[in-house]
Amino acid sequence: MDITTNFLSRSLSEIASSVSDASGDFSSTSTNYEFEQKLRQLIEHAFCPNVFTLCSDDTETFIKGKGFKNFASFIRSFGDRVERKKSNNPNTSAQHANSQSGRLREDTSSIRFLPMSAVRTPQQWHRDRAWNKENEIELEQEMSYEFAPGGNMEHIRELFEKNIKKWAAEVDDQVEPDSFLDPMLQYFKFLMSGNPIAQQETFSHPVGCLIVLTSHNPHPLATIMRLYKEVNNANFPRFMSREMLHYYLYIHDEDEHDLETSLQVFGNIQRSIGANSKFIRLRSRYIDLAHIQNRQSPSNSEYNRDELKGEGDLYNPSSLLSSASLVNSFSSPTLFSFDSELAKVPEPTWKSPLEILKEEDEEKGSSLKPVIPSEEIQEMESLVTTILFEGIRPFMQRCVNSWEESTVTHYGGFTGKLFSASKKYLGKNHSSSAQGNYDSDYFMYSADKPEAVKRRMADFLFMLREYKRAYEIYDELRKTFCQERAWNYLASCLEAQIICLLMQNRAITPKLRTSVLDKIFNDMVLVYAARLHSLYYTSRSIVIGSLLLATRPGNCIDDAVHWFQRLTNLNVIPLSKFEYAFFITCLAGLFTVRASLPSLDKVINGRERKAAFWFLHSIKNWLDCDHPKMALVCWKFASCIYEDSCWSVLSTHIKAIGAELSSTANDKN
Amino acid sequence: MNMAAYVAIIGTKDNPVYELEIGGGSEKQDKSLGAHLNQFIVHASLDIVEQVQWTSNALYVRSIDQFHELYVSAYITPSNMKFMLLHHPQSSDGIKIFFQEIHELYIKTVMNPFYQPNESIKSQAFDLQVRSLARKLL
Repeated sequence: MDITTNFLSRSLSEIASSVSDASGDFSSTSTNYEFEQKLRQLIEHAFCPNVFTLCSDDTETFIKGKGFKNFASFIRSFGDRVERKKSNNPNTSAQHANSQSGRLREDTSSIRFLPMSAVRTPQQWHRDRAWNKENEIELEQEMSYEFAPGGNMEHIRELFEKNIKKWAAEVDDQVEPDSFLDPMLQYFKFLMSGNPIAQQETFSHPVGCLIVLTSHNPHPLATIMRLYKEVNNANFPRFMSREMLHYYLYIHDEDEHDLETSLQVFGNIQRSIGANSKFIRLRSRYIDLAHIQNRQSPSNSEYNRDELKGEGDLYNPSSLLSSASLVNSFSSPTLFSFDSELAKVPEPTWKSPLEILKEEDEEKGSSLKPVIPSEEIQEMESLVTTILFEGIRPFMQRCVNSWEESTVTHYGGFTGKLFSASKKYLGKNHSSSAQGNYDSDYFMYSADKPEAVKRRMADFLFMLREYKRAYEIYDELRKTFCQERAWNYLASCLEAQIICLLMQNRAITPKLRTSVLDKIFNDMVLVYAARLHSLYYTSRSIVIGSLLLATRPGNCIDDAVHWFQRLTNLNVIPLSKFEYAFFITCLAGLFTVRASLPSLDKVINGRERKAAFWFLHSIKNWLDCDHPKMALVCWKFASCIYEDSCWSVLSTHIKAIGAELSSTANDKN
Repeated sequence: MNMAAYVAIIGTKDNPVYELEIGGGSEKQDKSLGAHLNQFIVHASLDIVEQVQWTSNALYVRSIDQFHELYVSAYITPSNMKFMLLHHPQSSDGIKIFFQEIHELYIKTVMNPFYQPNESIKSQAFDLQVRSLARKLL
């Protein structure tokens, strides 16, 4: 047997010398494919275009009648997951191949809707709330926590602590260690929810605005002009560009108005304002789910039209048939059938932590539970898909194209290079002109400056998933920001560069890691943590970077853990006990990304022992922050490896810890 | 030279065939890992050893892992026995010679017909010789 082992070792060593390390030639099964796809989708959905809504008064009344607080609340959940319309053309197919694995991935996108009143920086938002409270202004819109901005580590910590407690309580004995990846992804989602409006990045700056009015409006064109002026005169921050797509929505009230008249009015509007407009049909009557549930108790959330009989005339089918031919001639050919079913509007999934916390605090049972016909759900989904793929994305592409030309004119060409060289030379001798366009008093570039425009261009390319070109522009900007000491912009740029590099389908070689990625990462952490003292941006950037790097084959996983360890060693920013315990467990979680490898791959590339080590290491931290259930869960994950180990000291030790934890849990009970 | 170190010879089933603690006890006592911190660190490093052995023909694979200020160096024999050393930062030449000397001692042990591979080494002579090599080279 020993001779055999010896022989095998030698034979395999000879074969192994031809195996390349992390060259991207490793099989696609070297990583957890499902986790990688979930992560990539989360990132694509997190960094998505924002569109604010501005509604006429009649729209507000209409939507309140339907049972929603405002139009943005109504439409927001439809933007969380937008599927591209399917077509037969393989170039525009809804699925694109992952070039590494050859597997198909469903192409979904996201678009974030918010009311215009929520387009504020977090500081402004809190200041306005405090001012309103002080002056006893109790406007529902102003005092509501809906669309509250994210980016606050205390709220994230508080919400996540509740969630991890729930998760630990539900974990059963059979669960695998890599199930800890789910809470990690959830934490990442909390970090990205309610992405706060900041000067250094434009992801959360609005790309478009949606102006909404209904068939109740007596003067639609005048209202549109008024709302348009309101958008232009809005009190947005100076660093936010006002160059955005204006999209107009006309809602026809199915219950009150004649379709033919509405279509004529919409036709007039469309002739005046152009193609960026849409007509939809919604019912205005409020349908109370709770009331229907009291009458009957159906098995699922969809209800037949027959169940509504006797509730009054909730909708008038006769008007549908008469206008069928007219409807088909417009862009919304959906015809409401007689078999209308009801469905609940889906819950939005990208609420900020503060919003979720306040919702949980509010009294339950008092909120309205509106349901709408299934056709309206489809209508809204189609609306959002049209806005995103036929409005927002083409607009972003056009902007990028025009900025490319003007950027080449400004920075490229002989004159541009001479200008930048002389500026550089003069800048060294004259410190007063070294500032450039950066306003160091307010830590920003105003929206009209070329640096701000270029940053916006890079962010648009990022959101359009053109990561290669976006990386190049971020790299050009990095040098400018470094020269002008625009530290917040520099750190944000470095963060975006890392994400762009890792989202591309290119191999991450050891040389790329050491010469490029590590350098960018170290600079980013230095600026975010040491210069800017921002725990939020430090955490966010390290979490995204580490998670992405961990999905790459080869030794990338060790580097990813090494990156993540920077979060646990932040000397300049103190962490709470809970955060420290969670981050230590995340180190174990990162190693479990390799847990689902096939057995031979696992022998070569697995990190099971490492994961077990860090799970064990995190036990005492969870006990310190009074989370005994999480300590027990980590012990279970560690004991998967140690309990049956041939290293007797380790297996004895793990059993002793298990006994100690059980007795602690019994004492507490 | 910093004497605090931990030497282990790990068999093919993650079983420790020989262990030696050199120098003072570990200054950092981890509550959950307790007095066996060194063993846990070395055990965790086996993942990387198993990866590195397929990409390197050399027996001595130098410093493969790190835990805070402690480094893990490894030496893999053709029979897949892993010589692990947990140490503070120091010159790799001394470590390489140390491993080579231990390898020779190990070969002599394996040549003993009464010794089965993967069995733990209980010989006092072996232990004394390893200690003296550690004193001399580490």
